[in-house]
Amino acid sequence: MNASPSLGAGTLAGLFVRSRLRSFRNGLRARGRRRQPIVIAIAGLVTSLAYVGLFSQAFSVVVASVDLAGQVAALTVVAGALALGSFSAKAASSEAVRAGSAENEFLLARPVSLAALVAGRGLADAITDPMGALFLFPVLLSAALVWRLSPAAWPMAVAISAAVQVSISMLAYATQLVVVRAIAPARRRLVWMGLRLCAALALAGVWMVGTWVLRMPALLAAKLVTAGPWLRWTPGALIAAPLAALARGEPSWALASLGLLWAAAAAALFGAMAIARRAGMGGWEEAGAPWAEAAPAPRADGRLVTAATKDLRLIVRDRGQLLVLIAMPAIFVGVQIFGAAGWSWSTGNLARVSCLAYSLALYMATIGPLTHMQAERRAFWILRTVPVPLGRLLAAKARAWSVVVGGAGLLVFSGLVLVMPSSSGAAVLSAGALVTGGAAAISFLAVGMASGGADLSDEQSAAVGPTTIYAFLLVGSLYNLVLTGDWATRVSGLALYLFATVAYWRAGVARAEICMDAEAVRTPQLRIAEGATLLIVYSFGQRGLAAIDMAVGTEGAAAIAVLRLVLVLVVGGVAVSLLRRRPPTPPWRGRASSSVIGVGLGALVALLLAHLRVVGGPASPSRAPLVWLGIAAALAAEEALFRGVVQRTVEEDLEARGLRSWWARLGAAGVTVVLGGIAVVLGEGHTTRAVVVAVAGGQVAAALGRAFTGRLGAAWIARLAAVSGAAFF
Amino acid sequence: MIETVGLGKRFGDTAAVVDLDLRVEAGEVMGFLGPNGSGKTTTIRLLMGLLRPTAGRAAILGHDCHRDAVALKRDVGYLPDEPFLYPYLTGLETLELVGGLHGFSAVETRRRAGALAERLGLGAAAREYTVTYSLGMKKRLALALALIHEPRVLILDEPTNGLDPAGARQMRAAIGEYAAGGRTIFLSTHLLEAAERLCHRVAIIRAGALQAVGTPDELRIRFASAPGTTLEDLFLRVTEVEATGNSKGPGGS
Repeated sequence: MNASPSLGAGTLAGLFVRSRLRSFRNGLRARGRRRQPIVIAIAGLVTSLAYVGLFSQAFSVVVASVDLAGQVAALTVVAGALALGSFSAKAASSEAVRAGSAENEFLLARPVSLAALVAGRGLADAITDPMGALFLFPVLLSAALVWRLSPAAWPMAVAISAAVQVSISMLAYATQLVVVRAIAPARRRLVWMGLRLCAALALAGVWMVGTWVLRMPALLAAKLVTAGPWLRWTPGALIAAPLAALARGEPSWALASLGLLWAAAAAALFGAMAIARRAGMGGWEEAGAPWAEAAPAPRADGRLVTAATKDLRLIVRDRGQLLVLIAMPAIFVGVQIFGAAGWSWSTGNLARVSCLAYSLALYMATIGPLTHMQAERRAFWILRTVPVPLGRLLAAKARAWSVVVGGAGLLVFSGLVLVMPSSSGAAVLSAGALVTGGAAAISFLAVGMASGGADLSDEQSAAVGPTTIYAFLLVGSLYNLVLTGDWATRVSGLALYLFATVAYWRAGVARAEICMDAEAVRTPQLRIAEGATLLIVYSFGQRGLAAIDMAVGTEGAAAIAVLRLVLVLVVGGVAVSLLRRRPPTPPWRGRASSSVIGVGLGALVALLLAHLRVVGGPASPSRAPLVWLGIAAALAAEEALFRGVVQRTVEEDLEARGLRSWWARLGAAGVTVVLGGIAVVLGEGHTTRAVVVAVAGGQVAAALGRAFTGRLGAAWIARLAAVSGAAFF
Repeated sequence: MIETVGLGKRFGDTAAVVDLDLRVEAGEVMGFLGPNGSGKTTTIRLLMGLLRPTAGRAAILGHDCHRDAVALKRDVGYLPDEPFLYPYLTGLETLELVGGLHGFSAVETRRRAGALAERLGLGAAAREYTVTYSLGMKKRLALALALIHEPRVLILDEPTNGLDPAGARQMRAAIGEYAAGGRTIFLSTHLLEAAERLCHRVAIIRAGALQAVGTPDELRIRFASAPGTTLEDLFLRVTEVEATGNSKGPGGS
């Protein structure tokens, strides 16, 4: 019996579709950490809806501003940019036709030809990866909605998106086939790097086009009207043509355009299959394999590799990573300058230049030291089996990275200062020192946070997840206040930043000790680091609301007050959920005596504040019961954060470092009082000394309440007594 | 030298190691045998302080394996079952990195790295990136990493696993050489013949629990086996008997 030499592309596509959908379904049913598909599906849906909303809004402005030719030109640019970005990203990152991946090895060991594999996978992508064309479908749908086309336009948008996706997949696979067959293995890594750089630039282009469309749609459309004749010859025009024809009321021309688009997709499909057939199977066993594509080993340079220089040496030798480390921050910052803010605005004064240089360092740290645990992914056992404390090893890594990241910050700052309007020498020097110091310090934060989130016990999961990356960007962005704020904001921001860095560092070292232990890493922890993050979220939230408050004036005051309450309740809710991770140590005083102590401390502080005349009179809060209910709830939520999470974890940390119980309690109380004051200064933006003193007074009462009793309730009572006493005395 | 008392480790509801009491004396070579998934690697990782015990304690040379892990590693060398390495460091650079972390001077680190690379047959490959290494080369380099500080105790997890016959023989010869030098070796392996030849005593573990410990001759007597019974026969008998639920077995202790 003669077996067929290969499964057909259609059959293979059907198999791919079935197995991927089944895998997705199983992912949805899975529990725990394997529930990622649900998150991805929800994120994809929400993002698509957001795209539809945002693009509809922007495209409505375009439609109101220019004629149909201008509107089609705008859609052409957006669709073309998305297609280009999608194609370059897929060609650079997809390993669909490269050997070495488990799926390819599995399939190519069966009676499946490379041509069938390429075609089958491309066809399946169009069905199983609806976002494969970078949200082209939501954009087309938005255009159909804004043009008020009949519902028949919706399936047409689906058909356009599918055709584009098939074309993109085929062209991307054909590019990869050509690279593998035409480029010698030792030089191939360079070509992959080049493709990745092109992809990064194309995606930056997508971002910029998106920003332009959303920020100034009318202006962009007006400019594109003159470019219409040129745009007609781009692939974007082919994508926009069917819907544009429907908008002109020419359905037959729309169908013809769609047919043309599918003909182009078919041409791409058969072209890729022809290239695959011609390429044959020889050489695929080493395509994409690191051992084959590694550059020749370097000559010994006489310097020993140390824990500090290891990461740098590895990244310099892994040229793909090196390219990403240098190019991506530059592209991100370039996008910020050219896509959003503009060059003249970004370099308009010393504060903005400082922010820009620091942002570059922050992005570099995200790609460099923050990913250090990914580099340690499987070889961490080497560092864990040498007689050196992990804290010292991590500090050595951070020191090495701080030179690179701090140097990059200084270099960019120096360059930008030259093109900036002149400023005093002292101001430039101090700003330069702040940027360089912040950029260097961010490496310690990055190493600490990456270690704090690392899970090296599971071969399947990434060592550094998106939560860690976003948390890092949040904490890192706090330093922008140090660069741009008034002196009080700078000092407060710096203090909170240093507190967060120390908290994350300690959490990171502790986590690195257990990161290979599946049971230990999954045990919920209560750490100072979480308290630091909540403090930053709380301060940023309050600061944002204070800014809105100033902008809207007295008319929106009530709404802002409600929003402030919601913010503090949300933060408090998170704090309570963190507290449930670990039961507290038994309190050292009974409930009744703790309440008495709380009331006494609060009353004492209230009397003192009244005596100092920092509160009272017209500044007193309203005496309406609803207001006081809100204040009581807000104080309870704040106490859950300040005393519940922060004071308790600092207390435990100080005790673990050998401090006697009472000193640890008083030390932790002092820390939270300072942090409470910082949160007010950062949160309120422009505040008076009286407010800071009043809030600090309440913090002192609450902190001592907790220190003397070990009870969160006592702290809340003390705070409530201080606030109510100050209001009513 | 190596001592575990009531050592236990759970992963969620799964007990990987249960109430393990074991003692390895100075200069002794102890074979640690068990079927796949029996808890050998978990026990070894507990000994190296890579995992936290959920019960009991383990100590090597008097150092607690969890609380005193840093001091312990000055005198212990470890070869993991899957020796992943930094892909873009050469073999020599990896040796130099670890030598430096053990506190040797640059000159001393280079001397030791070169000597070990030579002795373990890494040859010219020592100057290549480890990403280009075969599994055998990786294992050899990992053994060199375990030996660079001339430890008093060696903990080896499946050292010959995945090696070709020549590589396995070389590895066994290297282990034999170090055992002859009076070092304490704790060796997990599937190769029972090699274990019988290399080890003074063997411990057999199944489902995380210790089933038998002693010299091969003692185990033959305990399990009432004929004098010619191989360690493989004994191993199968112990683990199969346990699998049927008879925890004592014929003549078991």
